[in-house]
Amino acid sequence: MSSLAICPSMRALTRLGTESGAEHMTCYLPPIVEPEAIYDVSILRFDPDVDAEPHWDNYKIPFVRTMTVIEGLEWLWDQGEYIAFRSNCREFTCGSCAMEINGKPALACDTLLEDGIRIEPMSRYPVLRDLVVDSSSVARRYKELRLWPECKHDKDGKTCSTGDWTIDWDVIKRYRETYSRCIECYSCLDACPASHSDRSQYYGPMYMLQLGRAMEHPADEADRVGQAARQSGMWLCINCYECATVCPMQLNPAEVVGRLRRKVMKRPGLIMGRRSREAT
Amino acid sequence: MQRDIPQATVWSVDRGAEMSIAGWLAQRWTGVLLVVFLLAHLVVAHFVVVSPTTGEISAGEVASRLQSGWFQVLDMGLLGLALYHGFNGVLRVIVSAGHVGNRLYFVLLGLFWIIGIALTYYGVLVFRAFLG
Amino acid sequence: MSTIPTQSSKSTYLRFWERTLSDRRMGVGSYVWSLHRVTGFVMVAYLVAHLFVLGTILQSGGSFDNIMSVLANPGVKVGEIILIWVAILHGVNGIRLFALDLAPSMNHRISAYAVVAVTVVLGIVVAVFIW
Repeated sequence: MSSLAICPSMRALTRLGTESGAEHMTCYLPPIVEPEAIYDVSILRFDPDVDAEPHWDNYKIPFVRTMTVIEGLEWLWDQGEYIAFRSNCREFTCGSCAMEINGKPALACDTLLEDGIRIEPMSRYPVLRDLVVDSSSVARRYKELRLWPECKHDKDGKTCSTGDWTIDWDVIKRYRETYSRCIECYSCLDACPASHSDRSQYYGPMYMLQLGRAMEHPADEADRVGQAARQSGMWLCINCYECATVCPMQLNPAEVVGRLRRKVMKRPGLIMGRRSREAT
Repeated sequence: MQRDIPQATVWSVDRGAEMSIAGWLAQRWTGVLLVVFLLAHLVVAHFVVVSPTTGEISAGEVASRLQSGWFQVLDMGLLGLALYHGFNGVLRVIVSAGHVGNRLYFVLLGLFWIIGIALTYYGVLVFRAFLG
Repeated sequence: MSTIPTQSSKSTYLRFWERTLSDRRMGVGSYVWSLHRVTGFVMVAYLVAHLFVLGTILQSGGSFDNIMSVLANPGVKVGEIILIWVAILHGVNGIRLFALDLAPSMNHRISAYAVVAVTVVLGIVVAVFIW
């Protein structure tokens, strides 16, 4: 079976056990290990210089226990199949490797390789190449919502008075457990059926989470509830909670939407005011 | 300090995709009212009035029930609320399927309102027919 | 830069329906919401039909009583039972959706399962009652 023997990535080896991993950590090449199985993997490829439109390619990847999708893609690179993909931390904390795996947005470094797996880029954004998408429109959306702690004094051109608030450790602790965990991987945006792109009227679950985060920020003085009511399009959220289902950090953007809606309903002036789309 | 903060980029204003807060609340509240009204309607019209011998509902029984003002309010209210909630919901479904431009949206909106009012009027006619 | 195609020209809404109908698992809330939409559609159609059945009173010759005797047919009871299930699911899930926005601490997954459970239980109770 030597022709089928392959070199799994170092990471897969280190997970198999300290022995097989540790002794080879010093040498660059991992040992030859018999694969448990050969998996069929389908990947949606697209090269803008060559292809007119994306097409599915099938590969056979030998599987070693605990092998992730990222490691599968890296194995393909080792074989000379240069599939473009983004990855950085490899430990589901940076959010770079989000893609649609079996039709559902997920982090590639957090998903085990399966037989018959289908890997495609996120459908929300334009594809640059293979699994890499162009998510530059997010910056525009952030600017539109002014998602930074905005000070009223900024409009005057004077400096912000930061002496009016103090650091509240409870707030920081809450942020660390909730808002700060968002790694902006765009999985929730990809899963949301009400927000189709960064040009849809409903901004998207991630933006609502960030809006909630700005709302609770002690240094922020902008009218976030008004923004939520009129600009964000959150009334189009249908409460399907897909965003909460796919979030790799187990956050719940739809719950933030509910919270913002409750706050809006406490302000009748907003309800009977102008149409919900106009920006503040 | 000068900052270049863009306003919300207005592509083309898609009136169909907009949703007013009042409209959202109306859909929710009519839904809640409908649950109550529908429950009352089912109990009263289909269980209480059914003739014990034949299991049928005859015109006479319906007419006798509708003499009372409360039942008139119940039935007409049910019709109006259900038509509003239902057609609004169907319109929302069509719009969220995408590719509904402004013209098509307003045509659909007008159509649904016309059909809704026509059906309400039809209901009133039926009503009066039962009453005599 | 040359024009870059988005992954799919279909709207997210239609892709959502595809995911619902495929064998890929989604959250329970999504399935319940899909049923909510379908049942809403069914009920609007039924409402119009019901109105026209009642409208037979406007025709002369006792057509109303004719139709009513046709509808007293036991086979119609099956349709009625299905309709009751449809109405219960839509109504209970509708209340749940509104409550999720109003109640700070309601869990969306547990309430979705609760909706299914209540629909089944109430549906069986009413079905037995009708039968």
